[in-house]
Amino acid sequence: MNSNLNDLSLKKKRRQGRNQTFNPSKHNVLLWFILSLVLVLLLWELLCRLMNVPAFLLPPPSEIAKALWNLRTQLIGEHLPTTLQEAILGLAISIVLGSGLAIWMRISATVEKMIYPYLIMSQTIPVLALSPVFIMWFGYELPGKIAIVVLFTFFPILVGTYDGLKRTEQEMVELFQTMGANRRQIFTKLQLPSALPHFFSGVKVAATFSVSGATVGEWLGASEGLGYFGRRAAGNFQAPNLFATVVLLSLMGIIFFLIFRWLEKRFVYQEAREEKRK
Amino acid sequence: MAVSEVLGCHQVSLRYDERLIIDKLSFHVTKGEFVSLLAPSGGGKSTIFKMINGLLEPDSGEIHLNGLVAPSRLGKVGYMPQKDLLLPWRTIEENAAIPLEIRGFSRKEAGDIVQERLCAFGLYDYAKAYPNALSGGMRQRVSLLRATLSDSELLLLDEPFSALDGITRTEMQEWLLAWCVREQRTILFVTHDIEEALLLSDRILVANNKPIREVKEYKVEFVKPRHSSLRFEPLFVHMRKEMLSYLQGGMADE
Ligand SMILES: Nc1ncnc2c1ncn2[C@@H]1O[C@H](COP(=O)(O)OP(=O)(O)OP(=O)(O)O)[C@@H](O)[C@H]1O
Ligand SMILES: [Mg+2]
Repeated sequence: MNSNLNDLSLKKKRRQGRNQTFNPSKHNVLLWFILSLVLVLLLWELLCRLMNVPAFLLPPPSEIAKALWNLRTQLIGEHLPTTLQEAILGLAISIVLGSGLAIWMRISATVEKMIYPYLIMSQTIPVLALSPVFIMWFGYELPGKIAIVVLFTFFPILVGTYDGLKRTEQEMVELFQTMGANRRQIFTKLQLPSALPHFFSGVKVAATFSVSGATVGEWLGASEGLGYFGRRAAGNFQAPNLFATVVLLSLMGIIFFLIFRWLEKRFVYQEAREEKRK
Repeated sequence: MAVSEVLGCHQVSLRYDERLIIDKLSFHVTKGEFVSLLAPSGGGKSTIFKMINGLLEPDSGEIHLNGLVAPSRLGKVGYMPQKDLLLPWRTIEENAAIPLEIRGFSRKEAGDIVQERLCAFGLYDYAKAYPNALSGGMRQRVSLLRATLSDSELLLLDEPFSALDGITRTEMQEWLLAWCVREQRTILFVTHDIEEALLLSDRILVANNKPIREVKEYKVEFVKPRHSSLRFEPLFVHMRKEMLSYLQGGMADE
């Protein structure tokens, strides 16, 4: 009788498996994107050639590709690793400090009250304007660059994690209390996992910001790095070289983003996404 | 007699801000009994449960567990809330294991205990599924399984079937009837559905006023195991009418 009953009351709906990520519609999206990219590049190339746009204003894609190829050892062997190092170290520090502070704010009401106003202010302060100050404090070497990356990435992570921790449903907390859970159990078994999606949203934003942060740091003064190279190229009106660094920086940002999206898919249960699909 | 009393509420009162919700309410539940608390919507049923399980403290009066005054009750009563409140990132078996983990069992031990019980709840095939893949009725069963894994004789079930559609609801009522016959737990069940209360209970406490002041007691003596076709029996229909007019009488007084 029991199994009979199951059949009746059961929606024949299983969890969307991970192997379904490669569904046809997703393939299509990628296909269309590649197609549009090719079209845009072609149009760009054509426009430059037909209208004789001077290369120092807007180089055609072929010139940029040529520059990338010619400068490959210099760009990828020398400048890219420098920028990568700054971005990764800064991001790592932000992840530790940002989520750490968010957790502390949830644990201590005093800390929360003291920090919360800054959290609001951080949304309005132009971090770009603060960057030179950070260079003043931390110098033109690696620490200065890392400091700027932290400046760019700290708040998105703090806000995301704090929001996530804050948003745990009160009813869930109460249920845990009725089971006799102590604060530590409520925190580790309930609040932390429910904050994870928000933490990842923050980190994904921060990951792309980290590249901007490193670039700005290098603009303000450096002897190597993609930002430094790009700025020097701009100074010399070498537009193809400048665009080559932009391409590399964008790729770096995209790859960072994809890495964290992969981690998110791996570790976060994707309820929100499935609900949207319904 | 006093020894087998699992839950006792003595002259319990509670107000939210200035509004009196529960006014000097007294009742008790004996070991092995299935008692329903019937009150109109918004009357304060969930509030009574939150006092019994320790989330709220009564402003006056005493709550006894197993015959003794119980000043701290958190963790001592199995509670199934009105919403199923399953954690979306945990599988069915992991959700059910939460109370065990909190009680200090290792994940492995907790998993083994849950495994043994999944069958009785018709959840065996869904151990590794996530809650959003289940129907409402199944989710309620997971929630009930979780409640039963708390370390307590008493189970509080807060309108477990109110969100279900008619057919699923009848199924779940029959399933719960069968389960109770096998398990012999002490259950306090909250509902605003008279039929449901009559079908499931040994005793029904009806409150017809706001704030909840006193409860009128109805003994339900249909033999067990019961079946949902019971609701067509003359005595059933008669009791239903009587309780309905009692409920309406109270509301008309307001
Ligand atoms: N935390 C609270 N603070 C103030 N008022 C509350 C609070 N919780 C509930 N109430 C009010 O107390 C009354 C009783 O609420 P309660 O949830 O106990 O009723 P209920 O009988 O369980 O209702 P339902 O049938 O909707 O489940 C309602 O009027 C509700 O609005
Ligand atoms: Mg309620």
